[in-house]
Amino acid sequence: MRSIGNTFLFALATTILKTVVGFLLALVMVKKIPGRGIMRTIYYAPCVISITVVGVLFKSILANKGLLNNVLQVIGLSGLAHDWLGSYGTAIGSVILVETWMWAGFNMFIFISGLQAIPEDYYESATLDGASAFAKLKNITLPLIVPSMTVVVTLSIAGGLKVFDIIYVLTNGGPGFDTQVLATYTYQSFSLGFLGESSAGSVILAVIVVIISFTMNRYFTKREVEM
Amino acid sequence: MTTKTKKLAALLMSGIMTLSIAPVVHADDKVELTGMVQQSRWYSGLQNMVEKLEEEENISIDFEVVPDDQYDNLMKMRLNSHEAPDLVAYQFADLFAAVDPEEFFVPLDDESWASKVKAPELTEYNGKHYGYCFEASNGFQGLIYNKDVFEANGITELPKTLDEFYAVCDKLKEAGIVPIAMPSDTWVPQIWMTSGMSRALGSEDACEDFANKILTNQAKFNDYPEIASVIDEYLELFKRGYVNDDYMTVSYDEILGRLASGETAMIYGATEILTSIEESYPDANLTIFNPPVGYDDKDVLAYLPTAMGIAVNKDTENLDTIKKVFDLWSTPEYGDLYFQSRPGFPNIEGIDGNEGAMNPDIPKIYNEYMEEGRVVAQMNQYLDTLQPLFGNTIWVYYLEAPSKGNMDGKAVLDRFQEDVDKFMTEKGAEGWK
Repeated sequence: MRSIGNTFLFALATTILKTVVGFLLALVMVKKIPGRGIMRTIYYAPCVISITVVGVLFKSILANKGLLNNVLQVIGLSGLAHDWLGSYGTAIGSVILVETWMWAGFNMFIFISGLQAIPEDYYESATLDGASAFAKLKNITLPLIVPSMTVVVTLSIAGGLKVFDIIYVLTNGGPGFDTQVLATYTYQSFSLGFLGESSAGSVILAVIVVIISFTMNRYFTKREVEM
Repeated sequence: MTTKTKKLAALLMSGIMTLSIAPVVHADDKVELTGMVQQSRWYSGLQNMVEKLEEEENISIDFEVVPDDQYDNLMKMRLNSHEAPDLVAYQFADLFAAVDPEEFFVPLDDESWASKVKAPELTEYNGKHYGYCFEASNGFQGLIYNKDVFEANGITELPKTLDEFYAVCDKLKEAGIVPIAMPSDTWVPQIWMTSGMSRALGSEDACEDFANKILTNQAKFNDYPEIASVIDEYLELFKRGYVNDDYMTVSYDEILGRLASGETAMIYGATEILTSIEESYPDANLTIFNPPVGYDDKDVLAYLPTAMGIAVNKDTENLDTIKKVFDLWSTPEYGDLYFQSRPGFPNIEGIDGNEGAMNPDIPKIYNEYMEEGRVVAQMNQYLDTLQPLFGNTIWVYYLEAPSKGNMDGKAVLDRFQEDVDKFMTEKGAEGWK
């Protein structure tokens, strides 16, 4: 049951964070600002790094005597230093944040494509009508970015529900079994020779992914606005 | 294209193709073997043997070094999909609990070195022998400690009772030294229990009887209260604050560094581990002793009837070369290399285990207990059938229990019993059908 709960928590949290952060980055990066090209590359780079490298990197950063705790000590916040991967709350939180860091840049590019497709005329008309920046965002950008949102959310949800690699390399389901998700639980059952249990886990996972992905896709598709 | 041009092109192509195979025809007949080995067992001695083989015999062995926690699954997957390399390194005889040697490995009974093997039981399965073992034994288990740290804190005599042991730990703790190191690698904390459970039962007969009843469902773990007391005494170390705070995340390699530097004083391990640490940290002043415990009134020493060895994949196309390799490795010219920086107990007669360079306490302690008959194999050997379960169940509980404080010894064993029941039922084992 814990693995199912963790799976849903991970999928929901990472979907929200990757979508929001990706969208915010896209809003900034779509504008003509100095160094835009380099910054887009920097934000996109994490998603092309090998997951094994990411795991080793963040394991050392988040270790008890790792970079993060050292930085906190240097800036006088040693009270916040913690064994980040050693307790459930911070371990699952760390995995979620690392996943967000890896894929927000990828989503940024999907949103940039969507934003670039919105005709400038709409914004010009809104400006002439005296609309504020927030009003333009709410009434023009958001409705017309829904197709990109459909892609991002569907991919994020499906990826989050099926997650295995980042959990395996960062925590291996630990501490103990605290960050175990359905995929790692199935893998463990299989390696223990519990073939019935692991097969059932695989089927359940596949059904969950199909149902939720399909549902989210239909929800967003109905809200797409034609330009 | 004219006929002349076509002929010219054909001649040119033939010439190029002939030239391209010429280097192969004239090249040295280098044989390339493949292998896989656990990261913790990729010893420099073995590397030297592989290097010498390539230099002198033109036989190269490309060993894939696999992290320990991934090794079992990778090995099983590759063997079952017939994609395993020629050579598979593993701890014998634990290998036989993980995979069926009759299905996957080549028996090596007729080899020239077979008669020189000191511990043939390590590689024996149903009357045949399925591996080449470098060592006859991995030694015994005990507390590895930093002598300099002990001396610097006025600890001149080793504790002989549990209370004396706690007093030593208290003294170290007051001095700001972490008394006992525990890494998150689950195979290390479990050494307390695999050693302790055998010591609690006190004799080989008692251990065999216990294991037989457990494995045939005639008894449960908690029918033997002394087994739970072993875990309770281990958990007491955490309650008393003798263990490092980051035991749920710190790596084994980092813990060894802390032991060598004196940041921590002791780690529960085995003579094999002591030898490995000394190889990595030759300046550290380390040794080992059999710690006093509350559940062992006979003062018994738990030993490891296991050793690192290599099995030969049945699918190999290089069997003759592999047999030649083992013939060479069983000679002193090669075999001695294994023990040069890592003294031990060779499994092949005539090979020098470099015991002169061994920590003198190792043979001293071992002989003392052996002569008095106060030795017993670690519990994992008796419960070998459950070996595939350990890493993902009870070994994790040993760390989860102190971390969450939600299980005592009895609760840990109850939880493991459920896993055992499920596992043995799935296997259709006797007593669970």
